[in-house]
Amino acid sequence: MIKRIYYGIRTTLIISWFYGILQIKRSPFSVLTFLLTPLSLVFFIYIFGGERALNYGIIGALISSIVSSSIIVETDATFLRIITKIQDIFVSSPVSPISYAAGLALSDLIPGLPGVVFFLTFLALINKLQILQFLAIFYAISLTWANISALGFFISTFARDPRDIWVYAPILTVVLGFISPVYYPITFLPNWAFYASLLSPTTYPAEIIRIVLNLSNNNLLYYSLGLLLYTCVLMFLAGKRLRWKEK
Amino acid sequence: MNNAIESINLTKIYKNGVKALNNFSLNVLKNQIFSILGKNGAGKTTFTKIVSTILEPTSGDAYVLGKNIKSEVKEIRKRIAVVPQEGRPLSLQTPYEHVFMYLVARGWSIFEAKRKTNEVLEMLDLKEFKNTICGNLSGGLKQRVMLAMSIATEPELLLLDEPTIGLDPIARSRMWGIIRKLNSMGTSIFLTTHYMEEAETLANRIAIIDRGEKIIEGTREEIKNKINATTAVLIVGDVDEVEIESYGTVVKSGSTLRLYTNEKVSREIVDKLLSKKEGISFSVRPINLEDVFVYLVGEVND
Repeated sequence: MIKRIYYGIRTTLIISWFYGILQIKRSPFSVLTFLLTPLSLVFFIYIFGGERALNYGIIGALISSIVSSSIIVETDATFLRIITKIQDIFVSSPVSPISYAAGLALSDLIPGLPGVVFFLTFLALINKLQILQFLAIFYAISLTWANISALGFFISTFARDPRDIWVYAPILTVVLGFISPVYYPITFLPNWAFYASLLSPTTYPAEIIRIVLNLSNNNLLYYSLGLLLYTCVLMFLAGKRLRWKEK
Repeated sequence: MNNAIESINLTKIYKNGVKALNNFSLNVLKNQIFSILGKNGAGKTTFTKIVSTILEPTSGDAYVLGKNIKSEVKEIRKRIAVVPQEGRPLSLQTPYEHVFMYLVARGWSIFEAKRKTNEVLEMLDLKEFKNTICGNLSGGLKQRVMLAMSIATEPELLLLDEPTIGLDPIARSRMWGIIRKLNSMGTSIFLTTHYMEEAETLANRIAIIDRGEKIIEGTREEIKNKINATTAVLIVGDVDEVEIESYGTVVKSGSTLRLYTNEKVSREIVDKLLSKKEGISFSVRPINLEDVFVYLVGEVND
């Protein structure tokens, strides 16, 4: 069992080196893609909202950088399955689907990491984060990475044609990373929109961070469990649909 | 168990209702180069995917290296490698990185993976390109990278799905050399192709497949003997088909009339054709696999 886990982690890491680290080494500007859009929003939020709104902007930027770099799994999983057929080479090998999926998810996070670290540092500096606050934020962003990557895999399983590859990720990035209440307080929403926003997996981590930074009075446990439940459901769905052995 | 692949009445019906394989049975002996020959859409890739444990059959069963494709998947996957049809390496990574990554992902130690990667790249004449990103390589070199990933794992059975599709004749012939070399080193090779020449040049045994069904299987000579003739006369132009039919078996493929006959009769028909008016062109040659294919299946795709 321990040996299997060791080999699984090793496989995940080598895939993320191959598909993530080498990719940004050869195409370093891809990092900017995930950094500049949220940063520009933070800039405008600061200009129009002042210092009071800055925290909301940075929380939003942190979540949306994770969303935009994780949802790309949808594009990459489809690309590797339909265009390059690299997935077939892995399927017909002893590599487990979990190691492969985790490797891809980690690869895709790598270009987004500088943005995540930047916004996290920014947040830590202006709020002088305590260890418990930091742990809660880490819980929120880790599970966001896991559930958005799972969502990406889940959606990729529906793609059957190369034309499907670049359709869904940009739409989901906008819906989950920008329209959902990640950049603004959830209390700004009218009643119906509040309930609708609970359908978005990104509402939970953003609210968790706002709660631990005393920007919201909502219940931390409620949103933490919501995020955990959402992550479990999305990972279950992705695992169910992950096309390893085709039927 | 001396079979590399044994399939028993494999049938595959896709969700859209397309029947890609119909009671397909086949035996591929170890240490051979076995080729499945068929038109596009004949069922070659479906069969390859099923025996590679990538695709589940609708019914029937198969054994790969003596292991069942349904219940012993893990054992099979440790011992085979696949080069998928029209697969391609990633453009920002180098050949070295592809092979090294795949070996480590399959559980090789870093040290062994480095040694094997260098060995395989040298064997496939990729050493000078080992640090060139694949986006800058030609189609033939890219295909060799895919092959390098697979053979580096030292598989007992290598499944190649149309490995030379889209390659120029020089790259194709080079690939054939590599396949022969691998086979001489003890690797069983299963190859699908729609190039007659490829199957004829490489394979010890050939099966022709059409619409998911096996039409014929045997050695080159056994398959060629399916037509009771030694010579093919290919005629293009305005000729009396009924008259030509009296000289042997005639098959029409596109604008070409193929007459399968023996050498003596072919001389007669050549004299006759030479005496005819202009507008007729023809060629005479020994029967080859393409002739049998056209005879059994119909037109050849390029």
